[in-house]
Amino acid sequence: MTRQGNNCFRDNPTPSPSPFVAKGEGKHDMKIIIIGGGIAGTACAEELRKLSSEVEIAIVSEEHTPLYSRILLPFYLKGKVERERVFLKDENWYAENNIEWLPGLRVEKIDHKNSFVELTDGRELPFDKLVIAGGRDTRALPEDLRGVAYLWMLDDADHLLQLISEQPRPCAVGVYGGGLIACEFINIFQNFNFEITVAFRGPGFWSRVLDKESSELINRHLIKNNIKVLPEAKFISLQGEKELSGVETDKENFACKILGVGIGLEPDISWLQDSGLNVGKGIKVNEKMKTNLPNIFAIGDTAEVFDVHSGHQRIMGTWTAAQFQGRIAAQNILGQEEVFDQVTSSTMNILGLDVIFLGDTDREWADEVKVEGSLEEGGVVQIFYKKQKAIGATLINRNSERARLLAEIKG
Amino acid sequence: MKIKIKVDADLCIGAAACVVVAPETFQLNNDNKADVLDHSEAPNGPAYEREIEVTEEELQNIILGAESCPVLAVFVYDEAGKQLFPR
Repeated sequence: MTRQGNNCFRDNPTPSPSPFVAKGEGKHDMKIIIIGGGIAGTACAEELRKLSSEVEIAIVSEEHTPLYSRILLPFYLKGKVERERVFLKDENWYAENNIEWLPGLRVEKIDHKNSFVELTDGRELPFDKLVIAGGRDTRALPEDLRGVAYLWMLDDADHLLQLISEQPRPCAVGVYGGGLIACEFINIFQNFNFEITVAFRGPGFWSRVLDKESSELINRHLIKNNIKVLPEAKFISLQGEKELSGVETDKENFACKILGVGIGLEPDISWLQDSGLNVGKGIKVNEKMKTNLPNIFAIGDTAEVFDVHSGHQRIMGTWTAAQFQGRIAAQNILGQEEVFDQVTSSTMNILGLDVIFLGDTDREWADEVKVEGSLEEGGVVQIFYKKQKAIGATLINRNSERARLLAEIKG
Repeated sequence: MKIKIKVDADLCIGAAACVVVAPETFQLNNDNKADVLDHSEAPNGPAYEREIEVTEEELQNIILGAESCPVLAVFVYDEAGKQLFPR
């Protein structure tokens, strides 16, 4: 079960004229449609415009707002930055850069043989090049009550801030999940001096990636910071009538007025099943962001990108990767042959403890994982190898090893 | 030309986008924050703020590095103190 944004057909039932009147032939009147107005799609549009003042660009964006930084949402929630500061573009930026911005719309169908897309408002837009930058949806609990919060879109952040503002202090809150978003909830709730219980299905955070020592290091750090930790606790149900009062798990029940849910993200690809695109966990692309279909590129969180360092197609799922993939797709659309060769990195600080993931940390893809450090030493590094070459690493409280490991993965 | 570059260490999350774009100007330190360098050097030790002499091409690349930061933690000023980025 996933949560999706608004279907704009309901909000905007009157079709407006197509931004593209007729299909173009050459590069100069090339028509490029970008599906998705997040960082990947917007970076692609921006790079295209930097490189060519003549190509026609349209962004079809499900969200109604200009580009904003999801990474800044926790800072906004903690009162470190104003709401307006999370926006990276304003509404005028699109017109100023001669980019057709179609907010509040989804693409329902891609016809690659006839090179057009069909929008939720019924419009059909022809394209010469298509870029799919659709993003991901948050996985949702099977039930809902007032007090349940997610943290992916700006609307989620506004909703969470409203819930927080309504709570007395002290107040018990919960977090369900063991990944990046669950960490953000912990940091946010701690900022408001809430009493926090965190529950997750596995033995620790990122249980498919981290070893026992790394997991235990994080769990102990949370406990030391007065967080109640419930490992291996499977969600059963929400408690409460109209408003949340607690959570039932198969391990223990706990009281909470707010439950922050961070149980993962899924690429928004279900609508692509009959598109002719090669789809696995995401849309499969090579290191040049090209799909199996001519003239169609995929980038960002919907793309399963060939990692040149690990030889593995995978969803990279970071802001920086999405942004650079957008730029590379733009360069390649305009005839270059650029390669995405970044070693991806994802960083998180959980109540003062630094967690860093570098490169490919898929345990199933790696054929060896070496561990340095230990729980007793207060820091653990895992290095993932494929055919004796380092392809990824995890660093818990071991920032000083980052440069060395990055160089090793880069080869 | 001379410019001033400043990293807001409270905002910096170590995403390293600036380092990828402009490694001669930005480098992550052991606190997982971006230090500012002067052409790969750190005269007078590590710093979050530094005035450096750059060419127009270098300036544009530093601004691209600042634009790439997901939390907009990098500020760039000209010699007169005018903020060049964020705009």
